[in-house]
Amino acid sequence: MDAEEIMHDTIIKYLETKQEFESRENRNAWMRRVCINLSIDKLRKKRLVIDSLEEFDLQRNIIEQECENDDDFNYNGVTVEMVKDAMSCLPDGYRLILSLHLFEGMDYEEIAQITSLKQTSIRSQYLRGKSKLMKDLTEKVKNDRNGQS
Amino acid sequence: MDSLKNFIDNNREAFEDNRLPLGHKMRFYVRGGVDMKKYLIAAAILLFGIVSPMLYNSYFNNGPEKYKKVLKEREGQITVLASSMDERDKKNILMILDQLVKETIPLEEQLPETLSSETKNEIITNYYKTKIEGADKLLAYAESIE
Repeated sequence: MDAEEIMHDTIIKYLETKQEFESRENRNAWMRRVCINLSIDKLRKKRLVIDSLEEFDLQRNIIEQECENDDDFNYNGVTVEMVKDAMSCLPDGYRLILSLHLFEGMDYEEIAQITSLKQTSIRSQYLRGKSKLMKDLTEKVKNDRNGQS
Repeated sequence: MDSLKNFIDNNREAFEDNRLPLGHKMRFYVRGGVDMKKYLIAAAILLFGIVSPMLYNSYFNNGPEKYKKVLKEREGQITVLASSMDERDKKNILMILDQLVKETIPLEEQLPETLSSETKNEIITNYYKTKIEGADKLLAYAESIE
């Protein structure tokens, strides 16, 4: 219901804005940015983003090395539904950063500006979130194969 | 290379294929505190009533091909909008669109040759002006329920 409420708020802001758009693409980009900002505001109000993203990472170098090995991940057996499900199970902070990078195409600098966090923290959180996602996907593929056999 | 990003990019359409929850339009109208649908339709019709004389003058000096091109553009826009609607709205919109754009025999081929060029142009202009106005109103309506 949060997502629907944010969608409604975005549409209402569009209807109320006096801003003129040169094209449909400009309008859509504006609405996308409004939607993202409203989503982050909602998460901040719940203090979920702050709790997960401002966590101090004492072992950042080791964790980043482990996380970067995730690029060897084998996607055989992975479905879109599995990835969607795994994303929805991530803590809000990780899901926010992964969504902004993977689906909205934002780089770490842009995400840092939106979230008011350091770029290095964004990268670290992205790698950790991705690693958690991969572990979940591994489990899902294994369960799927066990179910089929 | 981010293999997860590659996976998502290669399957982007599937990731973006999320259906909206049932009843979301009604909840939106209620939340808006006003009858948003009527507000939007009224606003669209008023807007076109004011600006259409200025907008349409440029269309109607260039023969039927230009009008057909405009109608074709509107048809494309409305069809795209209708494709994401629920079946009932989609059926209604496409039915009205069909009535607006379909021509078994183009009007310009039906006019008697004895008519002067001036008269033919006037008839063609008025005929397509009405169609384009209708298509613009249908587009505004389709955008309001998107």
